[in-house]
Amino acid sequence: MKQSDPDIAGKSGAGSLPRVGVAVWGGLLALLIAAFLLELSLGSVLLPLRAVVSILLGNENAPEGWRQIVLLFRLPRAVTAMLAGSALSISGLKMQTLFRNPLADPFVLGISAGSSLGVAMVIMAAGGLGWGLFFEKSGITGNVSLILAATMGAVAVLMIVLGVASKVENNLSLLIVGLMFGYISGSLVNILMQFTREHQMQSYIAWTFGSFGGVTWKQMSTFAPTVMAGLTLAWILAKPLNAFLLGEGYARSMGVNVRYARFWIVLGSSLLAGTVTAYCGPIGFIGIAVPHLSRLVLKTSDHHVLVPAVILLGAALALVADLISQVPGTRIVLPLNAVTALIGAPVVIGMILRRRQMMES
Amino acid sequence: MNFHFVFSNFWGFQAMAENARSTRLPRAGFRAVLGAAILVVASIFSSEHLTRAAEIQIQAAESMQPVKSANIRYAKGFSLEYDGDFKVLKVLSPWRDAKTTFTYILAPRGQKVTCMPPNAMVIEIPVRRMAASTSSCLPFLPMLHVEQTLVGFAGCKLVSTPEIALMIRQNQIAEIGSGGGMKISLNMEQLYAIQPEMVMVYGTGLPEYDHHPKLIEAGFKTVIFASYMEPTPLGRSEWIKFLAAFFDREAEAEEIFDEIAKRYEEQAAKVRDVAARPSVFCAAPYRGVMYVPGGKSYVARLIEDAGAGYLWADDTTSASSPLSVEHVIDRAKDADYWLDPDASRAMIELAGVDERFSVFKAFRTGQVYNNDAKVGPDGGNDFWETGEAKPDLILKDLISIFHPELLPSYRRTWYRQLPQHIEGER
Repeated sequence: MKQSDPDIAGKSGAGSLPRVGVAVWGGLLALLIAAFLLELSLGSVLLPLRAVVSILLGNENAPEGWRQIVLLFRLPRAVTAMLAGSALSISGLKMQTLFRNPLADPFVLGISAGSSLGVAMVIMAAGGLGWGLFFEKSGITGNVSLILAATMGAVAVLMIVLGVASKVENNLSLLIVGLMFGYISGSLVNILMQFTREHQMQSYIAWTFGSFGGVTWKQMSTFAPTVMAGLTLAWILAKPLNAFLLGEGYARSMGVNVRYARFWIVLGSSLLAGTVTAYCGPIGFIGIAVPHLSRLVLKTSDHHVLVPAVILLGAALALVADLISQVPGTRIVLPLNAVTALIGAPVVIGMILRRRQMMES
Repeated sequence: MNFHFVFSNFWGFQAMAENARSTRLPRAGFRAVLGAAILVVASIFSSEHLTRAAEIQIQAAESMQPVKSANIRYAKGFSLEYDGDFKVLKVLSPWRDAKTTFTYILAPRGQKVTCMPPNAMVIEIPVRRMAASTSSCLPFLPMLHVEQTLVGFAGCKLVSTPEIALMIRQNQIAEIGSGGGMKISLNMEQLYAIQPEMVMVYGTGLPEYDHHPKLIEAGFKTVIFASYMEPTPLGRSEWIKFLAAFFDREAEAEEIFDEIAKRYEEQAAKVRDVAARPSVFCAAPYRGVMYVPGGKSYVARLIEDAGAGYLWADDTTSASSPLSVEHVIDRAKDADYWLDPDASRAMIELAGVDERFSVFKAFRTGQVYNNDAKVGPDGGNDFWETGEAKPDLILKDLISIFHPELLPSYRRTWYRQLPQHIEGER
């Protein structure tokens, strides 16, 4: 079966190879490292790169304000951006493969819709429903309560989707169920918004803007392992994912237990999407764009190659997007979600046009 | 076309252009051409009308006694002139970056208005029945003893002015809002039922929030109350004179306002030459950014007048901006006081938003104050309702925070130091 993988991969680019040159991997790594260092040194306050490195190496003599900015704010933000970027991209890759649809993204199964509803209920229903009060009494407030609510919302949707996944025969039904959840949750959020006040609405809207800046070191201890687990699962699933590329029938003929594989793909993908949404808000576009970019750069559809490439590229692009949203040198911050699409969409369009020209010539 | 013509009578060019634009925007092609044609025809009508009206006005002005302006000392957003029996009330900046103004001709009941500026609205006074969708005007009503004229309000649950709240409990005031919060929409049927002679609203310039276009179209005499646009505390409270004009209570308003201004200036004088001016910042955190009021904002002015130094005093804007947390830390980490941390009601709640706020000295020393001491059971904050009408009390609150020795045993009205934990049930 291993032998047939390159043939599957051959679908997108004629004569592509599963093994990719050292130059491409080196380039991806260099991009990631450069973006990481820039993220740490650029921001409202511009710090010299040398100072940043010495702070990272544990220099206690650096100005206290700089150390606080780098160690308490920029470093967790950079790590969060990398993890979230990888997670969303991998999740998107798996969804695109599973549904054989280039428009699929991490949220196609309604995971972020579930999270949004959970968050909206905590933020906006403080007066009406018992939810907010429940959290308040348990001593869970602020950001932690949002994370918890988003997770609960995502898990609830995930349960339903997994239940459906184990019942229905084809993937399309699953897709439609996910979409319907998006609509249901969207309407419930709208109803809540109708009865909410200004600052609660602002809290909710700020959450939907997305941000890598809210994750503290304390929260990182749950965020990072969860994402790591999800990424590892994706690596393990590379083989059945390759089989799915040519459809369920083909996968079945290859000896893949379709329902079983689908269950794990959905679970892994939702785990990643749900975790990122809980900690960073619903961050769009990265999850749909990075798999496409990776396929274009690497000219392959083999998941054994794509999974690590998507992880690297996802991490690097998330860092770049965050860097731009911080508008280095100014005191303002742009909504992250606006930036991801604003820089991502033209890149994807450009790449697709270039590929077409190449194929035509 | 008829509709456009009528509309232009009320609004003049500005509104008409806006109207035409909104007709054109959604659908291109044929409708765009039609819209443009309507615009051209209507502007011909309207410009004729304008010239004619201007002529009449000039003739009329020559025959009458000279126009007298009301004494407005701090407010920049409205003007009031007396032209014979009529008052000409203008709202000069109805919302931020507004390109339009509003003119109201206040005419004694039954008097025919012979000359009319082209975009003015005639309102018969004294007004006997009014409705409102802005709480900023509420505290002024009892001060002028005209609260009984209020027959409808949008958002009754949030009202804290005692006299008005009592009337609401006695079912004398109809709820004219539906939904809630920022996107409150007006219940037009209820408005038709209570037949107000005037509806007082606020404007934002954003069609999705503004009520006045629909109200005017429906034939209600709609007045924009834009006190929130004033950057100074006394400018905001001077809007009592704006409201008073509709009830012929200008003399009372003058007296009340002079008293407020005198008390405010007295308090400010106490701290004008104070030796130590503590450093203060205001910041409402929202995930990765903090909303910080500009250096020319209302709250910045209050802080400066209360004998403290506002850390963004060099900023030239009056609105709040979303600033990066880094920038705020860079400037405010050693500040003495942190004001208005938005919805946080206790230090533990603020720490829950982001435990890293401990880099702020004010956070570590517990010098965090919020203006939420008087929040009603449904979340209406009296600071935003009554505060504008009583700036001297806000100033006293702030002075007692920054210079407690000057106001010993003073009990603050709206500001309170955030307690460590949330106190019981609200």
